[in-house]
Amino acid sequence: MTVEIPDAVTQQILASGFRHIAEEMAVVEYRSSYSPIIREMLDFNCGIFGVDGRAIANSEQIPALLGVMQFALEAVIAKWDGRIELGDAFITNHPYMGGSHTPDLQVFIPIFYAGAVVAWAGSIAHHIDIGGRFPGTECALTTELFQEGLIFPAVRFVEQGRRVEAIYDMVRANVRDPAATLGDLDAQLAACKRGNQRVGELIERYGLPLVLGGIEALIDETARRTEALFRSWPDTPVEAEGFLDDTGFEGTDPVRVHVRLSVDDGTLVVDLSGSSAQILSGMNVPIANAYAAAYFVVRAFLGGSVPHNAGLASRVRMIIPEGNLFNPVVFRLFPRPPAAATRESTLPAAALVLLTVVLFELLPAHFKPIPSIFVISINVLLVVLLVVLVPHRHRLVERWQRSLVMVVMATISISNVFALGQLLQVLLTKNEPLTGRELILSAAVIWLTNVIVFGLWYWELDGGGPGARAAARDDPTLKRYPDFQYPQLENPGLAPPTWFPHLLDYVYFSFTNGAAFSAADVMPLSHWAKLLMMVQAGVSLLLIVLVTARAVSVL
Amino acid sequence: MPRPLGTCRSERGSSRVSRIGIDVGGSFTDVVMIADDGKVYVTKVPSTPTQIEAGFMEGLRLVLAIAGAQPADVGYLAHGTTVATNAIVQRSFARTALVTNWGFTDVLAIGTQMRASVYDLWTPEAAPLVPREWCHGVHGRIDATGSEREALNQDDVRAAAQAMRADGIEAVAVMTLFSFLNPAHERLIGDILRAELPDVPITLSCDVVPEFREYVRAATTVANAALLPLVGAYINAVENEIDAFGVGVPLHLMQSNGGVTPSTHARSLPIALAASGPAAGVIGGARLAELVNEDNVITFDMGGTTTDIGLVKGGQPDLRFTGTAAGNPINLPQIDLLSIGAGGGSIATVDQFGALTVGPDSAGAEPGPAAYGFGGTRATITDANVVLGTLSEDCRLAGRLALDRDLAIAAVTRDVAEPLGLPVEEAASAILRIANVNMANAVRVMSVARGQDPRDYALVAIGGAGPMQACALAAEVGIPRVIIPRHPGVAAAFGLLATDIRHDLRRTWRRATAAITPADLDAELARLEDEVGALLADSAAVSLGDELSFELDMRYRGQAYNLTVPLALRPVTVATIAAAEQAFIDEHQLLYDYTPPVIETEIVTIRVRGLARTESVGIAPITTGDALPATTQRVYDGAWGDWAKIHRDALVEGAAITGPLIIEQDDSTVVVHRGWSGTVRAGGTLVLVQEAAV
Repeated sequence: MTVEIPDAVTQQILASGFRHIAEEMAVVEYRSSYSPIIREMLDFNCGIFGVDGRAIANSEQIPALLGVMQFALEAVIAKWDGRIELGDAFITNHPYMGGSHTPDLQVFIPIFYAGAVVAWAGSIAHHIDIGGRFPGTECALTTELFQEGLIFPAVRFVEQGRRVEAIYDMVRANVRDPAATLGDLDAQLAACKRGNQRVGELIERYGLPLVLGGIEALIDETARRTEALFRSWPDTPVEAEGFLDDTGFEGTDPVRVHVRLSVDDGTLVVDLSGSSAQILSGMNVPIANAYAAAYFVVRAFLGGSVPHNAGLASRVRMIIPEGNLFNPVVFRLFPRPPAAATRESTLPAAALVLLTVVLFELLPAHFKPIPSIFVISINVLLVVLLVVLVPHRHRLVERWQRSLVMVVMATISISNVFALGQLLQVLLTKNEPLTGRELILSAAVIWLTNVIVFGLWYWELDGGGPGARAAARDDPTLKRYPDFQYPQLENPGLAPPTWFPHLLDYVYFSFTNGAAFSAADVMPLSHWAKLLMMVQAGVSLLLIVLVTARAVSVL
Repeated sequence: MPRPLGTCRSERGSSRVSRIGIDVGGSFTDVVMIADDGKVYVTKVPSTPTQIEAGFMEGLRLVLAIAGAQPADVGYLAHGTTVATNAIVQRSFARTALVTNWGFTDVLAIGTQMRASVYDLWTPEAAPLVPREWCHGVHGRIDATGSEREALNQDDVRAAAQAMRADGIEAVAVMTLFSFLNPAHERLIGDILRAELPDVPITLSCDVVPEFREYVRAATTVANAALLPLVGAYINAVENEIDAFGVGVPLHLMQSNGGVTPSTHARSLPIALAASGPAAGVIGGARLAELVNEDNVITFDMGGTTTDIGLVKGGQPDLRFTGTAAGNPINLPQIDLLSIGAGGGSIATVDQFGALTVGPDSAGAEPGPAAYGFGGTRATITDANVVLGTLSEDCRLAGRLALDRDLAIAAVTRDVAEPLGLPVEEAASAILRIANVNMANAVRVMSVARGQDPRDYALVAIGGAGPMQACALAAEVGIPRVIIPRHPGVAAAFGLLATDIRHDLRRTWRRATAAITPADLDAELARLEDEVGALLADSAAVSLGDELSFELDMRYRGQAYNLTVPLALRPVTVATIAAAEQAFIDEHQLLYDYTPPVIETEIVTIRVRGLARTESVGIAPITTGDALPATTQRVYDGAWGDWAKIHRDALVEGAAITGPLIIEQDDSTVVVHRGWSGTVRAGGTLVLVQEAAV
C-alpha cells in the first residue's frame, strides 16, 4: 500500500480525526451497554489499529486497559492472517494470547478499503460475568484458568456479516446474565462498526496513502515525545518494591512486586524480574496488563494530551521472565516442566539414519536393490527433514512432512528386507558361495539395520509420533492412548514427572525384540505395535537361525 | 413550523409591545430591542463585573435612548445572566450544609470515583461543594418501593439545625434516599429546618431533581442551595433598579433549557440558570434562522474564548438531562450543545515536536490577541485573520481601537511561521485550518454521531467570530447553506426575546413498559401536569397561549442510559405507549446501530413540558440601506488578491452578493469565500450557498 507522509498541519488534522473516531466509538459503546461495570465504571476502551495491529488511537476510559488491545489483536492477526473476510468479527479474551483477565472481552473487526484490510477497529470491555466458578468470574480464589469462565482463543464470531450462532449459544449457556453479556457484545460490535464507518469516511476524504502516512506520522510523533521524556530523565536506575499480603489464600506467603527502572538510549526499561514467581491463585497479571500499567505511568508523565499509540509502546521495554507474577504461563496443578524439556531433539534420529547409510555401504553390491547413490540421497534427505525442517518436533508436524519421513523410512526398511531376501537366496540356493566373513558381516549389517529401523518406526509411530507426544506433554487435552507402555509412565515412583521415552528407549526396546524375539521392559498395547514387533522378531529369527547355521557349516 | 408530536396550545390575543433582551456576558452586555413596529435596535456596553446590575441598567438606558422610547414603553424584559455560571466556576458559594440519611454523609465526597483528568496524578481533585463537617446524617429511611422502613428521627434534624446555627450556615440542601418515590421525609425535614432556621433558604431534592441516582441528586441539590443567596440577591438588585427606573413589567430570566422563567421562579431554582448563556445563543440562532424558513439548523456560536455548537431539528433544539458545571454534576434539563475551546482569542502554539495546536488556552479580552495592542504577544485566531487580511486594520472590533497588523504578523511569525518553516501567510492559514477542523469535529459530534446528516442542515453563524469562519466550516463538514443573521454578534440577546416561558418537570417512575397500566401512567402525568399548570398560571399576563407536551425516558432493560421520546397527549392509552416504545426502538437503532432480538424496554423518567408562548419574533423588513461605498481589501487565500469589501448597513433585502467578499459590520465581520454567493432575505438575514464547482 502506498504511503504518503502528510505535512505538519494535515498530520494534526488526521490525528484529531483518529482521536474523535475512537471517542465516538466509546460513546456508542457505553451509552448502549448493559453491565454496570461498563456503563458506570467505564471499564472499557475503544481503539483503531493499523493493519499490523499497532495501536493508532484509543478512547480514554480505563488506563488499566491502555495498550492491552494491541497484544490481543496481534494474536488475532497471527491466527487468522490470510483468511480474513469483509464483515468478519473476532472475539478474544485468552490471557495467554494477549488478553487480560477473562471477563475482558475484546472484539475486533477488520476495516476494508478497496478489497484489502487497511486497519482494524477494536473494543475491550469488562463484562459483568463470563461464567466460571464465582459469580462475576473474577476472584482471587481460583487456582487455574479453567475456573475463570469461557475462554475465547481469538475466534471468529461473525463470519462475513453472519453471526456464528454456535458461539452465541455457548455464551448464552455458560454465563450467569446472558442478556447483559450478549447486549454488551452487541454494544461492542456497534462501536467497532462505527469506527469502521468513520475510518472509511476519513479515507474517502483524504485518500488511503495520506491516511496511512498520517498513521505513521502520528506513531512517530508519540515515539519522539516519549523518547524525549526518557532522555530528560536521570540515567540512574531506580528500584521499588511492595507486597501483596498473600496470594489470596490465607496463610500463604506475601507476594513481592518489584520494579527496576532504567533508561537505555531513550527507551524506558521496566524490569519486573525481581517480582515473585507466578502464584497459585487468580491474582497473576497477564503480560499485556503489565505493559498497560507501565504505559499508564508513562502517560501520566507525558501529559494526557499526548495520544497513546504504538509510538509510546516502542519506547518502553519490559523485562519479565516467563513464569513471573507479571508473565504467568499456563499453570497446572502439577508444575509443567520448562518448555525446552518437553521437546526432544531429532539429532539422535538423524545420527541413526546416517549409521544405516554406513552399514548399507558395507553390504556386497548385489545385496543392494538400487545403486548406493540413491540410498545415500534418500537418507540424506531424511536427515535434512529431521534436522532442518523439524528440529524439535514440538508442534504437531504437518501431515505431508510426516508422510515424507515415513516414506523414506519405508525405503530403508524395504532395501533392508531386499538385502535379507538376497542373503536368504544365497543361503538356500548355494550357487553363489560367500566367504564366512562376508556372510557374518552381511547378516550383522542386516540385523543391526533392522534394529535401528524398527526403533525408528516405534519412535515415529508411538502416540502419533514425537511431535504429537511433545504437544500432548504441553497440553494434556491433546493426549492419546499410548501404543507402548513404559514402566516409568505407569509408575510415577520410578521417574520424575517430566520423564518421557526418548529415541534411545525405543531403540533399546527394538534391540531386545531383535535379540530375544520378545519385549523386555516395554509392553506393546495396540494392534499395529504387536504386528510391527512380529515382523521385526520374524526377520531377526530368520537371520539368526539360518545365517548362524550356515556360518557354522562354512566356518 | 410543524408542531411536534405531543403538544397542544391555546391562543390568547395580545397587542404588540416593545420588547427588550439584555444578555450580560463576561466582557460585554448585549442589548436588543424589538420596538412595537418591528424595528430592531442593538447596542453593546461594557459589562461591570463588580456590580453587574450597573452594566445592565446602562444598556437598558442606552437602547431606549437610541430608540427614542421611555421606560414605561417596555412591555417585556428578558435577561440572560452568567451570575450563576460564574459563581460555580469561581466557587463563590454560600456556606451550605447537606442533610441526608444516616450513613450517607460522604455521598458528595465519594461521588462517582471518577477523576477529572485520568492522567494527572498530581493535581488534587476539587473538594466537594459541602465539606464533610457540614454534612449531617439523620435516621429514618424510605425504601426502594417508596414505603417507610424507619420513621424519621426528628431530633436528629433538630440537632443538625443546632449545629448549622453554630456553623453560620447560609443555605441548606436536603437529599434523602428514594425521595423521588416518597418525599415525606424530605418535606418533614424541610418543615423542621424552616422552623428552626427561619432565615436560611432550603432546597429539597424532591423539588429540584426528583430523579434516581443519589449522588447526582445530592450534587445538583447542593449546587442549587449554594447559589440561592447570591442569585436571589442579584435578582433583587436588578428588580429594584428597574422598578426605580420606571419599567413596570416583571423580569424574565433565561434558563439552561432554552426557555425563560419569571424571576419569582428563578430565585428558588438558580441552578437552572447555570448553562443559560450558550442556550440563549442556540435559541437565538434557531429563531433567527426561521426568519428565512430554515428550521433544521446547526448553530455555530464563536466568541472570544469558546465555540458552542447546537443542533436544532424542526425548530427545536434537543435537550439533555445531565451535565456538569465546573466538575459538579448537574441533572437539569439543558440545551444539548457542545462547547470547545476555540474562539477568536484562542492561542496557537507549535511545540518542540512541530505540532501546531490552537486553543483551548485563550488570550481572552485582556490582554487579548496581539493585534489588539493591549500587550498580548501570543498568536491567536484573530491575529491569523488580521495577517490574512480578512480582518482589516480599520475594522473596529466591538468599538475597540484599530487592529495592529504589524503586531499580528510578529506574533504569528514568531509562534508559528518560524517553528514550522512556513511563510507567515501560510502559517496563518494553518492556524485557521486547525481551528476549523476542531470545530468541524465538534459539528460532527453534534450531528453525525447523533445519527443526523449535516448536509440536511443549514449552518447559522453567530457570535462575533462565527461569520468569519462559517464558510470554511460549512465546506469542511459538507453543509450546503450558511445563514448569517443581521446582528450575529448579539444573537444570544436576541434569543432572549425569541423564546418562550418554559418549565420542564419530571419524575423518576421506573416500570417495565409491558407491565404498565395506562391509567397509572396517566395519573402520574396528571400530577405533573397540575404542577406545570400552576407554574404557567403565574405567567398568564404575558402568555399568548400555553402549550404542554409529554416525554418518556426509555431504555432497554439492563441499560443505564436513556433516550427521551415523545408521548402523545393525555389520556395515555395502550396505543400511545406503544407508539412511544416504537419511537425509542427507532431512535436506539439510529444512534447505536442495533436492536436487540428480544425487545424488553422500561420507562425510567416521565417528563412534562409547559410553555407559555411569548410574542413571535416579528422583525420589520430592511428596505433601506446606507449608501456606503464598496472598497477593496488585500486578502490571502492561497495567493494575495484584492477582495471587495462592503458594509452590512448597505445591504437591503433582495440584494445579491458573490464571493470573494468581505462584509464588515459593527458587531462582526462576514467572510464570503470564493465559490460562495448569497442573497439578503427577511430581516436582513444573509443566506450563503456554495456553488457546485469551486
